[in-house]
Amino acid sequence: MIYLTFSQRKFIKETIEILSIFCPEVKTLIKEKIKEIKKLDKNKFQKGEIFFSYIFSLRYPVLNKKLAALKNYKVPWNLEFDEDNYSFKDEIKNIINQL
Amino acid sequence: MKRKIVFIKKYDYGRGVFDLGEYVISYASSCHLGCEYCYLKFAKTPKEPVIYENIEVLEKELTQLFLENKAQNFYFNLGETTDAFLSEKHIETIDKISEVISFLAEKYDKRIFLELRTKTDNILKFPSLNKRKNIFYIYAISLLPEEGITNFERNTASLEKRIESIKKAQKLSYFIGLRFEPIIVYPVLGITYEKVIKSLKGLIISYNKILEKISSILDFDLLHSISLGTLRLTKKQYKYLKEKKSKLAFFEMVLSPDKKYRYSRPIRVYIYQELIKSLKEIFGEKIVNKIYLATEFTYIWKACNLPLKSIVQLLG
Repeated sequence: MIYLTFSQRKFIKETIEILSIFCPEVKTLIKEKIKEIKKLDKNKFQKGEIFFSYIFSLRYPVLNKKLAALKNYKVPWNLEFDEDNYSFKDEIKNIINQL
Repeated sequence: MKRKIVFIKKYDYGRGVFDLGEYVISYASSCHLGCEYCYLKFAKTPKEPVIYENIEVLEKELTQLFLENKAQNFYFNLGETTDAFLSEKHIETIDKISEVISFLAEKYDKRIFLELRTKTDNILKFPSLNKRKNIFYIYAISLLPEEGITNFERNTASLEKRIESIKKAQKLSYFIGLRFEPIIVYPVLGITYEKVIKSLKGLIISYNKILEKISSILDFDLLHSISLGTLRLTKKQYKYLKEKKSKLAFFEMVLSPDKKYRYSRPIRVYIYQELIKSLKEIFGEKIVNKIYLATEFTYIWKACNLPLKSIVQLLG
């Protein structure tokens, strides 16, 4: 069992629809991932988090890498902000403005 | 048909978007070019192209605008609610409007820039506009790789024809506006990070080819401005395109502060920085003064090291 909130389910559904436009095999890929996650020795909430993170990384491959590099900073997830308003602007500038 | 609402509106840039200071004159509505990303399909506009006849109302609005505003330079976009070269009637109307504007500009000591934005090559066959006092025409041609035109702008002129049309505009002594809008991430080679990066690099190569072609025919003295703007979609458009399984509904698009979907920030900044770099290599450092970002946030301008400037500051 994998537990997902209503909004997570909505996001996942939309992501599968969008990714299918560019990669018809995405559904098979995701089904495989679900099987893999179900076998993990974790509770349903942890499994839900792992699955959601996986889908997020598929949907936003570039942003996902950036957010990993920004994990010690509290910034909007979509990176749509003016870094000049943050005290740590010099540390994050290169991360958010490069591929 | 008579226009029942105002003709002139300050361009609505959206929350947080840098204000370029341009006005839109809605002398006509709608367009039959059928670009897949066009917002007009979702706007309250007539289904078929119409041209409004009650120019006397526009005259009143212009008088009021010039009287209330001390600025000397005004930039009017005539290709926002329709394509400026959609039909011969459009050009005839623009000529009539120019006559009115020229008269008022002289009276109130104003300098007017009229942007004629198009995706057609109709300038090659339509009669030219009359030269008028205090009026500067800007032939603003939308440019994107041929693959993008074929897939998303089906009824428009080919890239080759659009470049050809620049030569004609230069012959007519119009200023030239190169409009790299919308920049579309296409073709998308796959959904992984590596494939997305490869797609973006391919996109830049395609744009560099366009820039090279343009540099061989462009009269730099007539170059007014270069705009760069990546695809942006309303929520409705994104949903519609997703349902249509359009390749415009790219996966890495996020809702920006103005409630429009855009490519994520690293992608946009990469595209802009690379194109600015190419433009500098081709035209020299001074080109930066002619480049602006279309409907982008101040923080994106800063990320691209581009000085903020309104469109009226780009005087050709």
